[in-house]
Amino acid sequence: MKSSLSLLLFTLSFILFAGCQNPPEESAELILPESGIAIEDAWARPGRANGVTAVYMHVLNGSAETDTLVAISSPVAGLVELHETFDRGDGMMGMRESEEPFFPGESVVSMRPGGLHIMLMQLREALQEGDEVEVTLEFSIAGEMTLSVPVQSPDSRTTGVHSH
Amino acid sequence: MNKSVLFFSLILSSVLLSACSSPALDDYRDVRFELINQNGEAVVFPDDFRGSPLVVGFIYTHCPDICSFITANVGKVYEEMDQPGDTQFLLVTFDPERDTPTVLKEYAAAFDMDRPPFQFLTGDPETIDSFMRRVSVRTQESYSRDLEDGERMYFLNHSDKILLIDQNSRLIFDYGGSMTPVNIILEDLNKL
Repeated sequence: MKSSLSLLLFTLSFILFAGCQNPPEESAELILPESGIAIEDAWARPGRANGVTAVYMHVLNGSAETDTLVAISSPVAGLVELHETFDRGDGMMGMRESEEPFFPGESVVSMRPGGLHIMLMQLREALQEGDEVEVTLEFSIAGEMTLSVPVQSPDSRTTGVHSH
Repeated sequence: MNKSVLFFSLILSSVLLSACSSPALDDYRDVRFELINQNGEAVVFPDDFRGSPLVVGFIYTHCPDICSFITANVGKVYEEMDQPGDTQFLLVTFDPERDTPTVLKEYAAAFDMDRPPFQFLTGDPETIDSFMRRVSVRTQESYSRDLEDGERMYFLNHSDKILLIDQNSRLIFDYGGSMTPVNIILEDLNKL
């Protein structure tokens, strides 16, 4: 009886502990702005000089209309594009320039690892954890917005280090 | 009677142990690839690693998304091992034209992995091509960009893969590199 109770307690503790291990990436509640575009939880991966890196974020469109990302730039990169990673379904992963930079009204579009992301190419300097990267997004309706994006390692992301 | 019990126990232990160990998916003892690490040092796969379990990921440094996942996953396996012992961790590029030892060293540093027991490996294109064929890593140019400075930037579709190779250079597990939870690789490592 006593051992059954111990087993039950152990199992419950394990389940509770396992529940705590989920990355907090998806747990933040995103609230649409009353109008226009808002950006939440932007972050960039570290990258080497002359190399490439990716920027991720949630794009919240609070207006009723679809907005379009018409330009992206960053002073740390020679070339900036909106890319998406895709699973070809044959065991291979691919990456291509996104042909649909559209952000539907009253919706959230998440740029996240393994999916849509902003690609910074020809990095003019190495980006290390703790750095801040300036990224400017220009939407057709919401206009231009410049972000200061923290550079974070994916590892620190899964241990609860976040930017807001 | 005691001898019978002992004999039965030995048989049972043997059966249980064989059930716990996984059959090899491939055996690399018949190959020899001369590679070079991020420090410019010559490395022979698999000879130089015989006797050590190996965790091997396949990447190219112009891929910031999936390959970063693969690289970070290999790093996390090491960080989360209680007793890494002599386990070695390799990241091998399938883009040797651009991924020189210097480039790999900078890439490794960006992940805080330019240190033992990590090695980032490249080689001449023919050797890397043979290596990738042997480990069933496929690549294909997806699209390219002509840059203002005359350079051409290209991207690759590629297999998403991490391999677990045992002390005897036998392939034991083949994982989806960016997607496999690290704890699964750790569990499998503990079975070696």
